[in-house]
Amino acid sequence: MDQKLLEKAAEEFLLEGYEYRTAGKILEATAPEDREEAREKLLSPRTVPDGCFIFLQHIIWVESVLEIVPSLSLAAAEVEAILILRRARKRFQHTHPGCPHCGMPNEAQALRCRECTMEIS
Amino acid sequence: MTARKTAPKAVEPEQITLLPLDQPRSIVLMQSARKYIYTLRRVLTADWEKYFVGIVNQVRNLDGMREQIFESESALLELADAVIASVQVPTLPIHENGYPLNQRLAVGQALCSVSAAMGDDDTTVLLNACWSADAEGKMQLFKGLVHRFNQPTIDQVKRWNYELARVRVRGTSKDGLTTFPSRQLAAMRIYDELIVSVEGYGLTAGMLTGVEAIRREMDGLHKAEAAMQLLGGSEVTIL
Repeated sequence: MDQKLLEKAAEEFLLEGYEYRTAGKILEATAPEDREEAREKLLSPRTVPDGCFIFLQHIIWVESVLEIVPSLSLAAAEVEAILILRRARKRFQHTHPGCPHCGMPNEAQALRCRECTMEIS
Repeated sequence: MTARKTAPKAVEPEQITLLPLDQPRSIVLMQSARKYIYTLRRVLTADWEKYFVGIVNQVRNLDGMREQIFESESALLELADAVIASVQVPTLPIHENGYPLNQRLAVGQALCSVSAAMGDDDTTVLLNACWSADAEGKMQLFKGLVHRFNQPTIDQVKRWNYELARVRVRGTSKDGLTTFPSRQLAAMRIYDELIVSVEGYGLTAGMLTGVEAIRREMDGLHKAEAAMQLLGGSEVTIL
């Protein structure tokens, strides 16, 4: 798996998760036949092939299993991908720090938390 | 684990017909009111491996559109051609490329006619399979063929997930291609690691028993289908 593509996929995946907190509610209220179109409008587009996200899905699962089973044997590609994911997550946390009150990520320049609406600065 | 299908009943004690793994198979086809009896040699593990590798499963991303490409007919034809030993219809015209295309495809489809479901516990898988035509030319359906496994370890589950996720990627989202690996090959390997016993299968010498014999003699497709059912063989989904 191309590391640059995977890095990009990790960035897009984290951003998508962030956007989904708001978009998800709208999507749930949207008619099923219009959902795909609404999804495209509400969420940032993916710019890497589908396969990168499938591999990333596996890596996120492996990372969660490692918390319970630290002795899990990993392929080199999985280790590399976990490191890529962690770096992407750090960058994302830097640009989207957690709210001091509820912990939810917000854009760095936000004055109020989009989740609990408390003042951030 | 994924959602499981309703389990068919296990092999009834009174049902003594064993699926004869090492016997030639015959497939009877009807076309234009004529009966064609295809006799097939045993499908070997190498035949199944070649078939599984030959299945094309890709997703093409082109200018924001997703196109699923799934093509198994070529591999199916190759499989059928490899195992057809003879056909019993004297006047059947033999084409340059072998027997008629639609019949070769039908033979291939008959070879792949297996369905799986979970048994009473989460380490037992039951298969239903069409195998061969009986003396009257009617296809025999074997129901509730039992495969009992050891519980997979987390390393084995991880390896399985890794095999499924190990896609080949080329290009970008504007013109990108994701090629999925053959799940069946990985499933066959894990089957050999986890299998404990089977019921309903036989060899000329008698009932198929013992782990070594099962690994050696079990049909490749049955291995793959049973292991995929055990490990949750549903299609990989996009996040």
